[in-house]
Amino acid sequence: MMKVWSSAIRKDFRLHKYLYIMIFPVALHYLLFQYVPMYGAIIAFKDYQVAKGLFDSPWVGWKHFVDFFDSYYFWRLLTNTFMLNLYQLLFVFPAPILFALLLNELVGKRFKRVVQTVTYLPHFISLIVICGMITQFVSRDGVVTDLLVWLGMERTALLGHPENFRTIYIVSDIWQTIGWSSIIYLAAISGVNPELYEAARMDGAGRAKQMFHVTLPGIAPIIVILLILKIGSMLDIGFEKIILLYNPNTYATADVINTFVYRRGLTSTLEFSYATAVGLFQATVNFLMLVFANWFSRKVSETSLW
Amino acid sequence: MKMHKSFGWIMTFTLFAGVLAACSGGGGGGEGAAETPSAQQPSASGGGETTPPAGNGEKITLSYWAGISASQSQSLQTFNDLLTYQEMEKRTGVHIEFQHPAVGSEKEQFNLMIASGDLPDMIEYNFTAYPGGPEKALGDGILIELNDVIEQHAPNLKKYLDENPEMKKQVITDSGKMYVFPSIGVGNRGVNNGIMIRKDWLDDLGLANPVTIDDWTNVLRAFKNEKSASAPLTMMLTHLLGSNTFNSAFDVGVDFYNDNGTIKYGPIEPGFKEYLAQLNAWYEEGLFDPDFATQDGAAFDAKVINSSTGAFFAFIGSGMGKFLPALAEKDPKFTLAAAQYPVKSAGQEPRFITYSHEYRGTGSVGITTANENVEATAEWLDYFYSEEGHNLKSWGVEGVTFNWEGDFPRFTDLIMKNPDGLSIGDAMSKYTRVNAPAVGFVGPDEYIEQYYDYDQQKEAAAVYSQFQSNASETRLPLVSHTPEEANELATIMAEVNTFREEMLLKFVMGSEPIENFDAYVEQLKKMNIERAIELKAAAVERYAQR
Repeated sequence: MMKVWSSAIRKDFRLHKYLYIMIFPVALHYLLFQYVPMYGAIIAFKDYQVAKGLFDSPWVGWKHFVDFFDSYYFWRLLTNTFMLNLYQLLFVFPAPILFALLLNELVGKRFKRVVQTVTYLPHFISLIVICGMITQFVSRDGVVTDLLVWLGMERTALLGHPENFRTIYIVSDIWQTIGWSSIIYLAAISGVNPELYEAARMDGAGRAKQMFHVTLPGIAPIIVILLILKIGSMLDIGFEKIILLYNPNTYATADVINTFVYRRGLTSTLEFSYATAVGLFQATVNFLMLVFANWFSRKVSETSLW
Repeated sequence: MKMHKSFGWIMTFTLFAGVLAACSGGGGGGEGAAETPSAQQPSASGGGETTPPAGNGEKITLSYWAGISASQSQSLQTFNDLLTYQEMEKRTGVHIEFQHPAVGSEKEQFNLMIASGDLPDMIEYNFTAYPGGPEKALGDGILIELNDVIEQHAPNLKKYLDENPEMKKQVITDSGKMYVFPSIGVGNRGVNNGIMIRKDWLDDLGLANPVTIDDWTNVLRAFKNEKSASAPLTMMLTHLLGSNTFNSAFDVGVDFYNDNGTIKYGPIEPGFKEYLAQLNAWYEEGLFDPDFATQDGAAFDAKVINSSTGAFFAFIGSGMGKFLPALAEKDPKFTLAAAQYPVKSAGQEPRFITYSHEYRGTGSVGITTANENVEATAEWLDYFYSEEGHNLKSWGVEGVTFNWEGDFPRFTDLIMKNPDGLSIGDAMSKYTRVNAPAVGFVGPDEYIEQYYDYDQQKEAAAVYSQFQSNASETRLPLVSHTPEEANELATIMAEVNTFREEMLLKFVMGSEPIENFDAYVEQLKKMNIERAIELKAAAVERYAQR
């Protein structure tokens, strides 16, 4: 068995020598920078002390995990993290798909390009600046607040209220990513066989019908793949943005696992072990969700990661 | 070609958006809690030895990690540009390679540096705030113990500490170890921050400077109604959480404090409930800035300058010193006055006032285990405790930044009327290291007298410092914890702080009725706040026995 396998590889190598050479640096990169550092995860089970180093720090077993699960804030952190991700899945994820479909229907080339460029923009602006802008927009006399006041809301600093946080986060996320994320869908759309459109037109399909029955199925595999990946990171959330936007007043909805660990691990104490334990917990849950999503997708559709 | 076109568009838009944001943004008005001086220590300038150290013609390069404060960063990028250090290099032959963390994230970057184990030769940091305490910094193999080093290679500092045993008590750990070359406060005007009030408005309205809570309510109402101030009283969240303001009127601290020998944690005391109820009442009435929780430094400054507010928390130097000239341009009548730390009824004295310890944790320099030139480093640092070194650090170079007027080091116009238009504070930080805590002696009277250029500032210092001695009884000394204690304390406080900050805002803004205060206290007790108080008390006990 082993022999067959190795001779098969050898044969394959002879055939695709250059491909193998090309993949080598990539494989090396993953090995060195992604896999080797993983041994550091053992500090989640140790009381890591800088002076003693990785190997001589004492073992403490599951202590840090238990600490985290017992924390007063555990459920709130979990809920907030999950809710933000869920909202992202419901609103941020479909937005670029819809956007790409609509963009595809635009006729004026020039106009199309302008729209695209404008929507890309936020992607190129540093997150710090973006968050500065968001804070300004929703402050007591920001543009967004002005607009809402005009619509009948009472004037207040929007970020001062926990119930607004998720909306602000999600809406700004859409604004930030819609243009850039739509590129991959636009690419997929351009790969749809034009003959299919012709055939659909022959059968009397209008533009809307073409969109639903040709374009959408055409890009469905891409959507499913990205969806699985997204589900595989349900316990992660870009915490930089939250840190830049939240304040103690909005902790109730804004404080997520990552921000809590950041406050605890980097600003007050050096609890590397604790932070690592939490990170490991997140990674485990993410991994399980990824496997589940993939399994589910294989069952119901034909697309899956593996 | 098409590609280029859209690329150009993208760049243009990005830049445009960036410029917009830069205009409207602006950094937080970070103010070090220990910005200026304090303390009953008589003006002192170290020992007798004045020969510059380590100058045997041998060139040494040392690396030195130090934070740059937000205000310093406005006038310089690295301390290598500082006149003081340039002159130091000439005198000592020691070249310093400064490493600076990004402004505002010193703590995170310090922690990352420690975690990476990649240490410079010297670190300027508040090691009393080291996770686990100074003992742990020694135990972790970050810093070296300095007792012998100071004994042998730091004659000026040694002499000072021998002559000032009270000071020595502050800068050692419970087990008697020295871990830094300390930043020592000298000078007689201690308190440098508090609540400021629009004096011109008071005069207009025929009101006296408020002292009691009732006075304050009257004054704030008048500001709101007669002066149409949209935020009669304003603060930033950090001021409310970390400094003593109106809590002084309710005789309760904002953090741990000493109440006649008993260690207490302010936020769970009954006085704190009254304090929050009062803030809430003001908030509901529109007297306390509705945006206090979310505003940043730029928004705060804007409110003062465009007369939206009549009373606010600020520092005498960086706050008043900035607002007085800024407002004078708009309105010649404008003036500010310090309002004394408030009390509940007339005749009482406030006991809670924020002022720095003589030993400033900040600005103190530890020598790391990575240092291969410990002797030279110690001698270099010790120079700042000599008279010559102190003068160089504080006043700069004679004839350039200052001149002797008898015994008085008078800053030249380069500092006082800076040709580049820098404020006095900014000019000081461009040429010297006098206006932020740094290794050596900080806050001498000669500096304060020149830094507080306006009469209002001098008066403010007098008003705030009036009850300083009361505050030194309630304020905890700079205690140190054992590594185990520190760990436990940190774990408790991580949750406590989150909960306290959140609830404080809710109580003030009324989203949580004040009747729930007892439930809040119960919750803090469940989070083990009482254990934290015990740990603090034990540390205070040990401090007393040093």
